[in-house]
Amino acid sequence: MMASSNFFDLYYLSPMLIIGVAILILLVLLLVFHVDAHLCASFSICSLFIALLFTLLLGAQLNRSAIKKTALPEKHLLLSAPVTTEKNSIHGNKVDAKQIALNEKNRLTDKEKNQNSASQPLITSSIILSAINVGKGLTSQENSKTPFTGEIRYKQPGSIHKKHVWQPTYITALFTSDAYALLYTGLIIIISIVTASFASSWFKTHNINQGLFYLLLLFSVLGGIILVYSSHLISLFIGIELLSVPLIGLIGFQYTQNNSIEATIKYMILSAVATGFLLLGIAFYYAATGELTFSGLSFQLSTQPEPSALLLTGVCLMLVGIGFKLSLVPFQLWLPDVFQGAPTAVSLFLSTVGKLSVFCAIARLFLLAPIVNNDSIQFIVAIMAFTSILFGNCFALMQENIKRLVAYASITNYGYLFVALIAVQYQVLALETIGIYLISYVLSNICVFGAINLESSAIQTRDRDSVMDLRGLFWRKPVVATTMAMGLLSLAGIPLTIGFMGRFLLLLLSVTAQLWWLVAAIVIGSVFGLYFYLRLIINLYLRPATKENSLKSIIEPCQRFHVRMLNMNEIILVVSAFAILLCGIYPQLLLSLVSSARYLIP
Amino acid sequence: MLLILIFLPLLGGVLSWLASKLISRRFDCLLQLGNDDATTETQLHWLTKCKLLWLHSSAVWITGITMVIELILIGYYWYQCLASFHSTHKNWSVETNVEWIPFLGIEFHLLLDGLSILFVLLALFLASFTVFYSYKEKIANNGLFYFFILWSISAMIGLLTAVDLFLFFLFWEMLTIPIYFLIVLWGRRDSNAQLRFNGAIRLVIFGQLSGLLMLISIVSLALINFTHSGKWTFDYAVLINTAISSYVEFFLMFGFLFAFIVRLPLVPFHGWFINAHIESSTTSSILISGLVTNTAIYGILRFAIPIFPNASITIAPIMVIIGLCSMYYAALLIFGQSDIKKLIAYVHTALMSFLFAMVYMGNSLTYQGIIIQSMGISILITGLFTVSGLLIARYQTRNINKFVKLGGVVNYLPAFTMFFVLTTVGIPGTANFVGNIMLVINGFEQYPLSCALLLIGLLLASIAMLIRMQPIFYGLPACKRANFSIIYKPLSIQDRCLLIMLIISLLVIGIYPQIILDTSYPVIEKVTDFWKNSQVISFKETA
Repeated sequence: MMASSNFFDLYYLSPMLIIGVAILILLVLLLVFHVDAHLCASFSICSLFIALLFTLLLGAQLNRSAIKKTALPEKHLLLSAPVTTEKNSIHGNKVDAKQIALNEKNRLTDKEKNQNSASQPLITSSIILSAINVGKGLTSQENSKTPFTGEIRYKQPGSIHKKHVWQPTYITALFTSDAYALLYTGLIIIISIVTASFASSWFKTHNINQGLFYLLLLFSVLGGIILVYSSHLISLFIGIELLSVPLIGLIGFQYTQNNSIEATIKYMILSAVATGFLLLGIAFYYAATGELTFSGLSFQLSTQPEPSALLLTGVCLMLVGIGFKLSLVPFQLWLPDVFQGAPTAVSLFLSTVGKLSVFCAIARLFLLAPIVNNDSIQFIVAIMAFTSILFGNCFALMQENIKRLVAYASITNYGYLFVALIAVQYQVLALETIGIYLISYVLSNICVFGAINLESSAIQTRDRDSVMDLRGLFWRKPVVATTMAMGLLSLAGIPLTIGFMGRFLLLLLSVTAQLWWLVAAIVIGSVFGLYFYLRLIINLYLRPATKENSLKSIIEPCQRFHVRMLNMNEIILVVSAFAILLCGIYPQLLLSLVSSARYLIP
Repeated sequence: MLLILIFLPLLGGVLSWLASKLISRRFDCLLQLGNDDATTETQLHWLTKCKLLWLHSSAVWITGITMVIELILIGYYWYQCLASFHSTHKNWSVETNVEWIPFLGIEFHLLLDGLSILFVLLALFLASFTVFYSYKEKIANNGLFYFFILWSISAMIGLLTAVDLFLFFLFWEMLTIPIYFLIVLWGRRDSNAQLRFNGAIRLVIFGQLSGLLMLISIVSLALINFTHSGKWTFDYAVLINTAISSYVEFFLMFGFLFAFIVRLPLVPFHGWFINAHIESSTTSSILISGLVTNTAIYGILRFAIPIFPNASITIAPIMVIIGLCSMYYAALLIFGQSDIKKLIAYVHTALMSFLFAMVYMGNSLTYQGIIIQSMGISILITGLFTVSGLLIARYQTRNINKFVKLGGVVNYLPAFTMFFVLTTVGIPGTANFVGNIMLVINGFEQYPLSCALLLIGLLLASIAMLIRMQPIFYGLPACKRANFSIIYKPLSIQDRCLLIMLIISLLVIGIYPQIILDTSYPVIEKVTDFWKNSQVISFKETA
């Protein structure tokens, strides 16, 4: 199913292309004009915003096409047709799109009951909600910082190429452009913007070399986007490499800090080893099936009565490589050290983009090529998930360093996500669970790392990331402490945060799939998790031991609350904390967004 | 309307928090200006005083007003409910149903009926009591404090009115979080943060563990319903009719029952209860005893028995035995307690075990009795905790052995305490007397032996309590202490009013329980139907 080489096909890859162009321009700027770091930061953030914008546009167009396709045969869906004429207000679209998403979802479930093979146009649908929902986090930034406020309205979906029908397609054999890819591309780009913004405040002094940081970041983002787009093992491999090789540079960027070199070396060596395994696995895979595309693999696997030993070995080797990248037990030991040594913004990037994109690619692979159906593979994956959940929780229990703690929490969370991956084969719910869980994980990680990041800077020999450093943060920086608490609550899965919804869906999914061992692990894991997250939260609110409440400490410098006093990073934190709350209280918005982001099934 | 009932406390809490923040900020500005302008020391002093006063009263007033509005609302509903009982339309209820997560068929479905209104009333009464009690305690950062109190009330009302099982679970989990913060941040003053954290985290962990087991049951129930009907729903009214095989019914019931048993708490799982009480201040103790434990009784009556009647009746003898053991264990432990809060916590455990055993001996009259009894127990335990709070404030210790004789020197306090202690046994005229009579009359008819054992256990608990409490007031001679004036300080009018309020409410329920019986009758009748229509599952045939 090769698409004809068309000019429009490039448009499908626009996020990737824009970042590619941005990398080139940034290179020129750095090498020829020797621009300073601040400009580099602004430039990369701007280019990321443009990429985000195009992602949203593309998502909206895919959505539009899906609506058109589904609206024609069904009468009740015609009611929601006015969405095409309504071009000037986002809010109008939002409601309608939601309506449509709902209608369509109902239709989808109906369809799937009747016939298992869902037809192509049904699979994709609205991502416009992502534009609004996730973009809510950005409106404030857009208003204040970037010149793209009017851009969304100016380039309303559908106004550019009216003749062309936008629908999810394959762009060569390497990439698939569908709602699923676009949703996670959007997520990746948002995290990258946050990372760049965090980093620029973290480097207190400006240095000519710091421009390279953003260059590396953009390379990494490009790798991540390639990963979520990939529908071919080669693009998967290239994506992983492009993602992790610049990360080596990012992790060791501030090599004057403690543990930095150690972290870099550890990451570099283990990453290389993992790559070796992955490549070997791909080779075995190819030897066994003669196919490298996901869909071809799926065809091969469905026709073969019994998977050959070669294939199983290949899958196991690939699991080793992926296990390293996602730091699942027993390949998890590097993660806490790397987190501790890396700059906080990079830790955030590593724990979210670095793993999320690999996970998304693997999820796509597992859905299309039903490898997990094999009993032994399923057993191995289940063991990995089970032990990751328990290991991460046990080691996080007594951890005094918050970055290490979050690293262990990250091991646990990807263990949880692997549970969803095991169930990805036979459950419709799995994709929704993965989406919700990933988004909740990303939002809460932004909150936690953001707080640490605001506390520390590149000049110090280490980041202020131990429990004692953040003690009494609430009395110094109430806003930051509250958002951090919100992120921790969400990670702990407390009701009314989005983390709770994620945990609930996960339990629902694993009960539905009857994975009782993993259900037990999830229950135990959340109980453990509660312990160390709540300990951290309390720590934020305790008064520092040195400060006694004399009259002097009561009279603090008079600070009128003013919006202008918040800097960019604090705004990001507040927005993500709000998103955590909002999605926790009214999860339907997010659910309909995530459930619209489906795979393109060949 | 029900939405207002639930969200008003939360709103009030946020308001009181914001108000205290704003006031402190404004006064800080004024103070700083004062510093800069070099105003006199007295003016500065006056400003600081003003700030503290404002800070203190603003939060309390907002909270108080919220509580009054809530009480008026619920009073109005209660009036409606009572009025409807005497008319022809018996099944009074108020319902609110808002679509919430249509993706999984989850609705914001609330129902206030005869059963839940009584528990809501009790919760609101105790919560307002707590707010009034906390007024005299000079609490640091009290805006946040009242925010957490109101949050817990919000969750409590939500829990008692939710008829969507997901929603029920949500509120079930939401209830423990504010209490956790209350214990850690404003808990016992003479212990450090780490100890308070250890006490409080157990509450949350036990709650979470048992809650998640309940969630698994809920999800499985919804899943079974989904396989039958092809539609996700968590609605109580739908799920109650789900056809389940008897084995599965057992497993699902254990999920629910475990959550309820842990929260009651019965003996193997009472660790969190005791520890939380030890580390908490009087206000959070009242919240734990008054609000949290009642949810378990409510949950059994509302969910465990109606959804799984067959499994419940099969398991009933075992549950009675568990209740008995738990009761005797707790009663015997009371003899050895020297920490006054621990003592009261054990008394509460014993009483709740008694109640739990009685639930599984039940019929319609028993359930009526259980509601009255649980109201009585909550109020009396609240009274005991209030007394303990007053005593701790006097002696600066919780060790009973260090207490000296108060009788004859301090008026009212010994008498009031004695009243509460005797209420435990159920002296005539109190709510507990009515409750006990209703429970025992029925139980004795059907299960004479276990009922007799339960009564002996109750007696044992009261005797133990009497033995421990009596020396505080009448036993030991007064010894010489430096802070003589604090110990023998007369009881303030406010404290007196609070205690009298509790005593009056106990007496009112005891003397005229008909209003409560009328309110709960229609719902209890339904629960009893489930109980009657159920049959014992015999495993011999299937196995």
